[in-house]
Amino acid sequence: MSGALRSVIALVLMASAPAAALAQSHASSHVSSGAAGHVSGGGGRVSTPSAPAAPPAQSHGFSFPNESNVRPIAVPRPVAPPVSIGTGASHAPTKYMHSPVNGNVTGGPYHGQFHGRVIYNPRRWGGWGWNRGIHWYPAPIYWGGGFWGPFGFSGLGAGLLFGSIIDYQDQAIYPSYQIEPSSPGAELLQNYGLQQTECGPPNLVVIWGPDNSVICAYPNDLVGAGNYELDPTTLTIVSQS
Amino acid sequence: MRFRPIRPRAYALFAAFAIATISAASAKGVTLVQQADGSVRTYVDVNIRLSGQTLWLRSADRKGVLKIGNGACSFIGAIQRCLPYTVALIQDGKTRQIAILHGTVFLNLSKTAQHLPLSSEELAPRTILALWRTVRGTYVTIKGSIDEVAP
Repeated sequence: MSGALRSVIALVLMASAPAAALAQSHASSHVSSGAAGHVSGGGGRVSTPSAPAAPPAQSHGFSFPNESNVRPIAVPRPVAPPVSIGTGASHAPTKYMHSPVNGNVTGGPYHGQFHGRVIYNPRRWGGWGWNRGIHWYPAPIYWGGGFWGPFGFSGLGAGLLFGSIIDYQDQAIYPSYQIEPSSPGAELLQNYGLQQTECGPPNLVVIWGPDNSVICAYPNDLVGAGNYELDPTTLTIVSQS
Repeated sequence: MRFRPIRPRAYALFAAFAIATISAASAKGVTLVQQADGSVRTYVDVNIRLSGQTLWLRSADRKGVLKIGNGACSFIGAIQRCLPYTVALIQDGKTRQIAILHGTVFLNLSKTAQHLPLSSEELAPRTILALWRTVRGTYVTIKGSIDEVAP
């Protein structure tokens, strides 16, 4: 089949929504879930296409008619009160606000207080060695800058909460979520032999990551309970002073 | 006749199939843009350039450029995964920001085909697969060979 004919066939398939739905019915044998990236949602129903082919895309660059002057999505506020207890006190009042997300800030209520013992990563990574030498930069619209997984703020809700840290003094809540197995955060926990658990109960390893994100883990022989700040360059953690 | 809008997963399957079909005919990138109303536009022969962690897509007629800022780039096997967080459309002498909700960019910069994470789908050498959703509900899918890689 010539390339031109193949292109024409593809354009016919994409002419309209019904045509697209028909294409979907044939797609399952060609596509796996990996190609879907992080598009979520259930499968759609297929209807029989009947609309004629639409003309090819216009020239003059790209067309995004609905995207002008749209503000970026903001971090959802407030967060539903956590089920688990915070720092030993009772549940946080419902008016407590989601913690401020700031790409330049980490450590939550303990910001700037991590001057304690450095617990070196057993893998002894050099600078960005864990990332094949590639500098890791946070992506601001994702929880933890994407360090713990590709979790856009738009998709995170109370239903996905995995505990939280409550700052009663500043009346802020720092939510936590389950990390993705293939994320840099998962690499970190694996290196230290830590197992993630829900934040909230006392005597846990509390690791503060990029953008004021936080996850918790059970202590082990290498890492005792307490607050730690992550150094993403070497995947090293530093304890609070 | 009313048509039910395609749901995200359905769109992704369709987009992947359509991309696979077209990209076999075009050595360059293919971009699909599905609006919230279900209409789909396809852009073939898109030039794809990677500069650091920024992706540049130039339309075939050279009149439009999409600049995608990526972060959180890490590796899953040999596949590099980045998370797009800014998209700018540079066209007609203006730069317009397109707010996105979330997305993923997969890059295979190796010399051999690599499986996508948790998938039997392979990404050819020096090929990119990118998907993102905008705040307005537009889905964009891009697949193609990377024409230029700059540090």
